[in-house]
Amino acid sequence: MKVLASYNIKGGVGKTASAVNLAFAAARTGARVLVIDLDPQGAATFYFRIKPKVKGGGKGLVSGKRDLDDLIKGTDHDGIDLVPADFSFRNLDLLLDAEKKSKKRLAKLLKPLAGEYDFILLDCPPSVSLVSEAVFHAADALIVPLIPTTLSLRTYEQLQMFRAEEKLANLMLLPFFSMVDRRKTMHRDIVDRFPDDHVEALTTHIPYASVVERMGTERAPLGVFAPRTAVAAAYEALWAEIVSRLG
Amino acid sequence: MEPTVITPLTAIADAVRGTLDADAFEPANRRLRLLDTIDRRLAARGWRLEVEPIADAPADTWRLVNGTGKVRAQAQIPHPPPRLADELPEGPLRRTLEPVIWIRSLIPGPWITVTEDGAALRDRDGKVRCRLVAQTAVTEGAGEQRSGVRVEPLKGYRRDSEKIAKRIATRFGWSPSGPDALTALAEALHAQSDESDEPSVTDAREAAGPALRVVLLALLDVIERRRVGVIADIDCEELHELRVAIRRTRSILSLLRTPEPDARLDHARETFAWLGRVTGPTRDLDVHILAWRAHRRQASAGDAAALEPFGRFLMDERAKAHAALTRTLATRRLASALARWRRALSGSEATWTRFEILRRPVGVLAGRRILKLYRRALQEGTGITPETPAEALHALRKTMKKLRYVIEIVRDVYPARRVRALLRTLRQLQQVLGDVQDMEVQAAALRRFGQVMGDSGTAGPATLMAIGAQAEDLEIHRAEARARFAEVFAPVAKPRFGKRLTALTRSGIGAPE
Repeated sequence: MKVLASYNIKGGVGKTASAVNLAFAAARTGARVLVIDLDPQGAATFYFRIKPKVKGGGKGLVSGKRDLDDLIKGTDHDGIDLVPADFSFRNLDLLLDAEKKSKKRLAKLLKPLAGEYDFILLDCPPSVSLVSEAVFHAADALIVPLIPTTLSLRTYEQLQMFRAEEKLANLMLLPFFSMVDRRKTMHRDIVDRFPDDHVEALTTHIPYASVVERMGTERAPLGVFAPRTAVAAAYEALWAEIVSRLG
Repeated sequence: MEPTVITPLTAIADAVRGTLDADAFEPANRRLRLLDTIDRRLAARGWRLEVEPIADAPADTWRLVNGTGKVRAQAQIPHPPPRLADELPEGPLRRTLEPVIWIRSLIPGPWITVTEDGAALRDRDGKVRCRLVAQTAVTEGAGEQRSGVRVEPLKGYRRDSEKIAKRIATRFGWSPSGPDALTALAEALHAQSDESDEPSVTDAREAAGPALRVVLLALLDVIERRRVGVIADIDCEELHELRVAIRRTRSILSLLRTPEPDARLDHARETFAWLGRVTGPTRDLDVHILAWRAHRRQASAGDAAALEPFGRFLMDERAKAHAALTRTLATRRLASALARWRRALSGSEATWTRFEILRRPVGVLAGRRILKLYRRALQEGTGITPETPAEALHALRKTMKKLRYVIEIVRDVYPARRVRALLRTLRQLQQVLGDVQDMEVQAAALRRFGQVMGDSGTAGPATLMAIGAQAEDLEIHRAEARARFAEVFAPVAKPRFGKRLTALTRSGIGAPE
């Protein structure tokens, strides 16, 4: 079982769309996938049409008093299950802080699921907090969506520094560009230059496409309602590249 | 009760949906085959493996489904379809199948046409809570048809599916909880191979002759069945099982020592000794191929590529040996020898069972043989030191094999827990003895194969080096096994073990333990 986290310090870069569409692409290859929606906004939960409510709330999840397996909901899509978000996840930091070995807590909670799933995808809130530290300790790789702007690249540098400070050398960083509009000169320049200094960068880009916004009205991954679009194909290619990187 | 689907599924869904919306999906037809090993390892777990061709592509979709209809793993597999798990591409499907099917081949059943009709039951948010699926599966050729309706639960929404199932039972009088049509067909796949390969005496007090006659007949059935499996080349376990049945038969024949020679028993002894010999070369090559596969799995990508020509060489040699074996197994000589043996075992002609010595209880006869072989094993094993030549270990291995087979012939008359514990200890010793001999033989064979390939120019330096590395690996394992001998022999040599074995041999015949 591999644990992947869709993460960026910055918001609005396509973390949730990536987590949901990559989960769908993975399930299409036959993998068993669990998405855990750690973001109290619950966008991934919404896309899967599931109620944003967890028995026992964040406390039940973090304390381990409730079996994580009991919190899992089947989605409408074969091979994808979800641990929904709960509004109480806004206090997940405090709840984790109250636990012993808080940074390793999430990894411990996920361990019993190893036989059930091939991949766990964590959809993370945009912040640097105890939650994200726990995610870094639990994950094998961070999938980092970047929009091709200077500010977005800056947040990636911050993330790299944070990983170095926390001595998380084994944590793989897999940045990729999302919402790429190749008509814009700046997008083209950044996308083309970034790999020169970042060998870890994934080569597949997710193009900007308005159909992604329809995920909110369709409440489904792109592969369900727009399977033949370039952006749906890009997510499939991105997933194939991620799998090959994981080895 | 299996439902006969007369009511359209939409009507069933409408009648039981309650507050949920029934969203019918398009009826779909699929054509697929089911795969399982000949000993039905997937069916035993309640799984089925579907193989469905992909339109206009030289590939199939393989789907491993559990009893509730949930897909456990899925992959697109290019043609030609692999038969062994380690020939599958890396991924969840291979990882799930490998520990379950082990080295057994996946054998396809007949083509099946499946018609599925269904409805998703959705809540107010449009979320699917469960699915109602009607499935009809028809086997091509045989025309066998199974149909059924199932309620597919979704994790976290089990209550909904339970409610729907209950409503169906109340409203229509049948339960949708049975296996679906495809699962029922998967359960029946290769079902003819379910008979036991390990027949045993059931009453230790029964006269040895008649009791062993029944076991020999069952073993003859195994031999006949496995003979067909070997000719069809189902997988390497067919030959292994054939050889085990031959050895068990020979082991019983060695118990049937009559005061005067019996032509039928003597003929059987010769036949099965010969059959053991002629099946040896193919089995040896099967073992080499298994070792090569295991070595390739652990090798780096570069070494694995270098090992490929060696694999092809082994497969070619094995194909030649198997062709020769198939010719032998299909000969009239063997058919008539087996027919003659069957006649010798049939009720009216089994006069050899009336010898006085074979009227004694089978438990007594087997018990004596067990203790005699155990004493011999003790004698042979006690003198073995790290400097003892390998031949001494080989001799002990043969004695241990004979001992195990005799115990297995009467296994069912002994208390199961005690016999299991003793066999476990013996098996540990046998494993080490087997490793010492097999690794040595295999390493020597590898060097010989390397020489042949080098001389014929079929292997380059990289392949020859990879073969050398594999031989070295085997030597290391052999040395490790040799070093473990004293550790695994000690529990067998303990007086306590001898006492337990003696007590066991007496337990089935009512003698004081």
